[in-house]
Amino acid sequence: MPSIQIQSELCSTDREIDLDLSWNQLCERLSQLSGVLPSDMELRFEFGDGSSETVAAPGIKIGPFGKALKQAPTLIHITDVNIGSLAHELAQDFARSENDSNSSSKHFTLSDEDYKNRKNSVLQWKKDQGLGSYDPQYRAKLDQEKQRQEESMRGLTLNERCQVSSNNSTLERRGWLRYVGSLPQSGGLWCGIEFDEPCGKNDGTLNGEVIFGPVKPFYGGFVKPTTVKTSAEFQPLDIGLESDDDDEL
Amino acid sequence: MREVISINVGQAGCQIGNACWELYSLEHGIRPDGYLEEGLTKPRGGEEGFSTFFNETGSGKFVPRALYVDLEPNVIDEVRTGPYKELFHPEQLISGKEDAANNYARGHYTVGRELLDDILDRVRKISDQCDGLQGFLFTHSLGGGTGSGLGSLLLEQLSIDYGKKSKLEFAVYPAPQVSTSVVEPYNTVLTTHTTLEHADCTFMVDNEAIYEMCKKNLDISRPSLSNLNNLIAQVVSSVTASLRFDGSLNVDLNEFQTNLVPYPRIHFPLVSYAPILSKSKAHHESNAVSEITNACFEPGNQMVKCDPRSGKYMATCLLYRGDVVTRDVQNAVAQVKNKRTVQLVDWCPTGFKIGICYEPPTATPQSQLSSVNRAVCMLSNTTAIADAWKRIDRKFDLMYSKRAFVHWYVGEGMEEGEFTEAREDLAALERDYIEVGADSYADEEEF
Repeated sequence: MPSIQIQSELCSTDREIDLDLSWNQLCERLSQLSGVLPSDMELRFEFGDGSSETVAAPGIKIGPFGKALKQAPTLIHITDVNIGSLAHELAQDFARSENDSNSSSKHFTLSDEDYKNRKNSVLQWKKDQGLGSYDPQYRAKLDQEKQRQEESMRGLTLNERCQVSSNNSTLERRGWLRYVGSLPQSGGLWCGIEFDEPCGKNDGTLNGEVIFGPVKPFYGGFVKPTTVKTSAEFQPLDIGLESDDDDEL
Repeated sequence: MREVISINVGQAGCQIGNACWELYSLEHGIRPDGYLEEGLTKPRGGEEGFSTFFNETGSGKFVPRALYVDLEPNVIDEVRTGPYKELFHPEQLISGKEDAANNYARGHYTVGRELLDDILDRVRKISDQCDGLQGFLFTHSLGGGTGSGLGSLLLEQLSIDYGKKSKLEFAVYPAPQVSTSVVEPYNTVLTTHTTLEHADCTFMVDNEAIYEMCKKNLDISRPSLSNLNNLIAQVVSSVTASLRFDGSLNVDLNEFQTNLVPYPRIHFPLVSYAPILSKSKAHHESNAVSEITNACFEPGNQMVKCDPRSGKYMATCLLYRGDVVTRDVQNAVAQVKNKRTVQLVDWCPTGFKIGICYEPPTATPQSQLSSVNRAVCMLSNTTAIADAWKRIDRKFDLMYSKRAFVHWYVGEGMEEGEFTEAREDLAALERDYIEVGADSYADEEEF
């Protein structure tokens, strides 16, 4: 049984297909893979020698499909001739959600209430075992940390120049403080920074929600208040990216 | 004895199974007919090691502790007539006549269920040959009808019949861009829901990620399915090497699990492998322990596309094989911790668990992968893998909001409520991962 490549708007796969299948059976099989209704199909068969053959309305043809072709095909391309079909609609929906991966419009999520009511969950495990914020000692640390962040926050001025420090890297980053507050799906206090250089992780958008900006991609980021200082003194750094570029090449 | 029974289900599962058993046979010095290679008096790996995966018959023949299951005959017929036909006992190869038509419901409820008694019977026979069965190793796809439907049915049944024995899975996750069938998102969500409480640890491989590795690292311009499966087999072999070879650190399946899976639902470690080098490039790389360790943190070496830099690690296992000494590993790990942004879940004890198997990896003759003196496989339980679930959930939602193709499932007697129940479970899984990443007081955190 030859292995044939099957292609449609929604699928691409190699399958072993019996050449003795009737046209009807072939269309059913292809429909399961592609989501295209047999009545909406137009098939293009490609052969090993580079030639091809197109069959319109294959569903109404009679006899084994392999017999009607000059040789075993290497590829079957399925075209959906019905512009308003389900497969077409889905392909468009997929493309749209791909381009806008942050869109949470149609993404089903559990409500806090429903999640809390589930017996078998990480939340319940943390509660039962006294882990994370359910561990009094850890809780105390978190509270302490919260206070520390709140204190740092009080010293900050929104929309002022700022500097972001990091233990890990010697590189200090500068930019504008654009946001102070909580973030969706993440506890604690955060600062939204518009960096002078593309050294952030986003454009001021998180999980589809615009927190500030949006600014240029990778010019935005969210850091802890304790790592931020604001002052008009923090003018953009000349880190010499432009002038050094040629040397590095 | 700590035997492991491999169960390969569906087309993808069986084909990966083929690639794995070919590799295992080479590694242990067993010929395609099941007898030892010339010059060997015993299989490589040591008595304890090879017997976890192979059963020695009275006549000096070695038989894989494996079962092949598929609803349609084609793929298994290839095993029956292929170069390894004598390796397997005919009873180990079970195929039906009617395929699952890419439909979970057919694999789980109708066509698949008819084969169930037969399969369980054979599993019982293989397990009767074991002194101390350690567990099961499944390979199947999440998107195919047999892999998802019958695969989950078997996992459920083995839970009932074999209680607490480990059940590990290698699961082919639908590629983000190209689907092999339009209903993959349904099958994936349904099977994940059904197996969530039965599988102890699931290693996912996404064909698109593997495809890109074959193209970029192995210089294969148009990778075939067998190129992909050979690479997957190399990874499976790395994970199982410590079980199959004596004298290795960390030999127990349970030990993997205890380290990697702090809470049963969070059992999807991200797998990375290095080096992935073509034969022509191999001579230009030093392939030092620090290099291959570092490479595991590169997205190009991951079996599933996701961004671990945006997630937090709960646990990490580094499984080395070949010419590796502990001191080099310690240095490499220290280097990674210094240089990389590796964020840990800080309310739960995390660490780097190290395993070393001194047997180097073997490259099969037709594989493009060069033979190397050492390799590493990293298993990390990171919250970043939740991206994979989000991706498939989103597709499921787009389809289900139109009730697209639902009648194919209902037509096989499945209740529509199972769709919503499964999807809710996956939504809870997404929340579980958020909850794992929550509660942190690290200054260094950044979004």
